[in-house]
Amino acid sequence: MASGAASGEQARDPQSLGRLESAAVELPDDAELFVGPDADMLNADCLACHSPSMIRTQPPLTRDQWNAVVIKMQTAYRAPVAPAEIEPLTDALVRLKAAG
Amino acid sequence: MRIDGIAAHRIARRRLLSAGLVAAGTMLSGATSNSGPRATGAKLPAGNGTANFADKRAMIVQRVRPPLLETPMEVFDEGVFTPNDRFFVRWHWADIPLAVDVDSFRLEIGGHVEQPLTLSIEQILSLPRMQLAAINQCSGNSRALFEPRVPGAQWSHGAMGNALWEGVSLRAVLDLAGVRAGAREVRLSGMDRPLTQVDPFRKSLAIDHARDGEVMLAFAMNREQLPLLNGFPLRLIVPGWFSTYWVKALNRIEVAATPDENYWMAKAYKVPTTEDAGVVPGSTGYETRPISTMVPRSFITNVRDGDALQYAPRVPLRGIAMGGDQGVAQVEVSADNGAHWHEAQLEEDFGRYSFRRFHAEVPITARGPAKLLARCTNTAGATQDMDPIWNPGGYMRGNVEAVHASFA
Repeated sequence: MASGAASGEQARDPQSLGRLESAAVELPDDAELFVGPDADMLNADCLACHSPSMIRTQPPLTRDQWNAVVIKMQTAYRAPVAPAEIEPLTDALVRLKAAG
Repeated sequence: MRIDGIAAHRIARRRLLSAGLVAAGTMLSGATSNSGPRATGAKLPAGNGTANFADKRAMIVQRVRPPLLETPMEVFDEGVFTPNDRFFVRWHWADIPLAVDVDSFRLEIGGHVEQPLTLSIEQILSLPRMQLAAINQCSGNSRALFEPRVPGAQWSHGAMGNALWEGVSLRAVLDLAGVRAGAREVRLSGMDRPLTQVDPFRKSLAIDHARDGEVMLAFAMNREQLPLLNGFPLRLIVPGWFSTYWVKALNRIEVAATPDENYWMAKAYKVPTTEDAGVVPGSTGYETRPISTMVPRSFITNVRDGDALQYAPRVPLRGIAMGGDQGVAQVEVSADNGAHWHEAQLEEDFGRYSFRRFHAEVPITARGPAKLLARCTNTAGATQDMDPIWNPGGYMRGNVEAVHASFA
């Protein structure tokens, strides 16, 4: 093995950590909400789990692709989407992305 | 169970309260409130800018909550190891540890073992140590380049990083508990929690793989303790395998005699069983398998897309290459879209799981646009393909990447 990258046990490296310090981190605020005509549904259904940025960064998707995403969110991740909301939410996402 | 935005933030808030980081009367930001006492004043980028984010500096913020932070490509030109404060971040759920007390942390080992046990940080630090340089790469790194496009985190190439990891082998920890005959796999989970009633994030390794002496529990990254956002105090390192297995905030190791039916092994992170993990877009009915080993990749790092460069008859190129789960045997570069390849010089070897820097001088035969390519062959003889693969998950990209520049 080349120097500096040996695997397996080795004598204690003087730079080897002697201890760990308790740690804490602050995350930035995530206050962004959707606005516009579908805002209530988008905010209620989507933001329980993740930021709007998850949706904003998606590439252009067809309606079928958005529908598959909504169904996956609901079935695999138990997103708070009522069965009757699946189609309206899909339409809302298509409108949201079309608006740019 | 339906979860609403208020419930979700109540859960996150409880954890913050118990860590003593948020006073009981303060409101958390989220779907129902615009105020946020935990705001650090971090400006989030519009478009493709970068921002500071917690302990990270100048990252591309793909998503705020839960964090998806991408490393800008220029970082990979600065050295073969990725600094901790520029190392990418990816969490599935927002209920992540924001504070960990070293003295009360415990790692539990149980399941199909002779004697279940718990280890404190102090006990873990007293075990024989190992060090390994290894690349941590998201399964969906470079997903944004897939054509046709696929949903998911829209990473460019920056969901990867190389670090010198220090810790203890998983084998040593398993042997303390004593693996019983009939053990089939090891299931690993951490302190992050889903916000809904779904399987917590957990990954499993076959028992022989878990005990191979290279899979390790790391408590140090580039000679410092892990950043919280990268899994402090302990994370799993699975050298040569995609990052989904590199469980962060690791606190439970369970030896099992049956296959893991957990969502994150049985349903998520599956790729086609084809040789290159690619299928024709839109096809269905193909077999899938859990993602595993990485593939060779290489990146020119001193020139970026759109650069307008001064013409010279020969120009220097440099970059980084990786062999996947093997070493880098050779890197070649081309300045004419693959018509001619030139062997690059390989720099210091930090082992088969690490980035390897390379450099070369290439002839530029004409002014105008140039497509600059790098191509890696690993020590098992696998060479990067020119053509990209496609799969619906946007996983395992490994083709030759082009940098479009112009020489005036």
